[in-house]
Amino acid sequence: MTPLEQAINDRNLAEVVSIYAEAAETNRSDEEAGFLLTQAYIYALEAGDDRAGKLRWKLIGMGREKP
Amino acid sequence: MRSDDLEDVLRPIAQANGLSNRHYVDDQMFELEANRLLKQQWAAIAVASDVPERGDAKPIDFMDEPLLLLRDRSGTIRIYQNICRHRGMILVDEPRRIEGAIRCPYHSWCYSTEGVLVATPHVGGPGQNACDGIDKKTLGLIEVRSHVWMDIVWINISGTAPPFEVLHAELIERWAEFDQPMYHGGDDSRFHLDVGCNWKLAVENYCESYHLPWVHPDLNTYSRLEDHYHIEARSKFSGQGTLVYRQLAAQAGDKFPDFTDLSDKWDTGAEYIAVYPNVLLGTHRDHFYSILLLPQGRARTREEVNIYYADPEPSSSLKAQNTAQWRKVFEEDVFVVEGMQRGRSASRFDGGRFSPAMDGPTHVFHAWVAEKLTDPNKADRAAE
Repeated sequence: MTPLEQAINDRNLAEVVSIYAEAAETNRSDEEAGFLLTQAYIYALEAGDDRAGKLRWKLIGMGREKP
Repeated sequence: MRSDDLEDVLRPIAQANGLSNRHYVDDQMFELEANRLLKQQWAAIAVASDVPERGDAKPIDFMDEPLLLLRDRSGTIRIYQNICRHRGMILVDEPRRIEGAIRCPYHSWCYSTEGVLVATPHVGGPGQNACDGIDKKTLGLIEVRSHVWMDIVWINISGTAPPFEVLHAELIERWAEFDQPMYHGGDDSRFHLDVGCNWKLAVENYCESYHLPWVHPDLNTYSRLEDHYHIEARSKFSGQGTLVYRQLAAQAGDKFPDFTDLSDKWDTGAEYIAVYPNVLLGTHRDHFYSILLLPQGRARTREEVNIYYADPEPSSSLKAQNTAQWRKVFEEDVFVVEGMQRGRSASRFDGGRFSPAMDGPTHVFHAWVAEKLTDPNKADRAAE
C-alpha cells in the first residue's frame, strides 16, 4: 500500500493533503500541479484543514478556480 | 379522493365507522397516505439531540426519501435531500461528524454545512475546477422545509403546509409553560421498539384512555379511568390527560426536579397527546417524552422514544427507573396494535364503531385522515 493509499485508508486527511501538496511542488508541469493542488484542496476542505484557504487562492492564481 | 368509507368516518361519532381495512393492508393506499398524510404535512423524522454538536450529520430514509439531518456551523438544524447535485449520489451513508465540507464520495463535489456548493474538482478537465454551465450558486444542496419544536425535527417535504407555528398554534399555546430549557436524558433515555403494525394504529391506541384498565393495569391502580379527560383539537391533535400524575421517587424519596414556574394544574396533571401525523407526546411536571412513529412499510413501524428532564444531570438511577417504567408501558401496547393489524385482514371488518363516550380522540384522528385524503390542505387553508 502506498503512503497515499494508507493515509486515505486511515482517513488521515491531514496526511493526504500534505502528500498531494508536496507532490505539487516537485518539478511538475502546470497541468500536473493544478491536478495535485486540486486534490490537496478538496481533502483540506473536507477535513476543515486550515490549508484549504491558501490552496484555493493558489488555484485561483493559476486560473483553475473561480474567486 | 372521496369515497363511501371516508364519508362513513366523517359522520358524527355515534354514527361513524372507523377507517376501513384498506388503510392498513393495501400497498397502494400506503403510498397514497405516505404522500397526503406524511409528505404533505409536518411529519417528524428525528430529534435535534440526534445531532448534538455542530457538524453532526445523520442520514435518514423517510418514506423512501433519502434525507440528511445536519447541525450546521452556526448550530442550526437543517434537513437536505442526501444527494449530490451532480449524479444524485448519496452523500452521507452513516452518522458522522462533518469537520469541514460534505464531500461527495463519487466525484468529490463539496458542500458547506449550509448547503452551498463550494468546490467542483476537475469539472472543467484535470485541474480545472470551474466551467461554463456549472454555476455553483444554483447547485446547492436541496433543502427540505423543517422546524424544531420540543427538540423534535418536523419536516414538510411538499413545502405546501402552513407554517408550523401557525398550524400548531393551539398546541404551542396549550403547552407554553414547557417552552423552557429541557435536557435529553442521554443514551439511557432513548430506546426504540419495532412493531408489526401500520403507524396509524399506534396513534389510535395512544390517544384514548379507554384501554388503560385492561392493557395497563398497573397504571390503573393509581390513575383510574375516571381520572382522565379527553383532549380533542379537530384537524390537529388529540389525546388524553390525567388528573392524578404521581411522580417517580427513589427509595430515599428523591424525585426529579420540576420544570420551572409551572401552574398548579401540573402538580398532579399530565397530558398525552398525539400530534398528527406521527408524533406521540407525554408531558409532566418533571419530565417530557416523545415517541416518533417512523413507518417502515404498511404493517411495520419503528417507534423512537426520547425522554427529557428539567435538570441537565438528573439522578441516573432514577432516570433508568423512569426509562424502564415507560418501556414497560409502551411494550404493553404492542400486542394490541399488532392484534389490530392482524384483525385488519378480516374481510368483513367494517372499520369498527366508536364509543361516543370513550373513543372521541380516536375518531378525531380518523376524521383528520379522512379530511387529508379528501383534500390534504383544505382544513389548513381555512385556518389561515
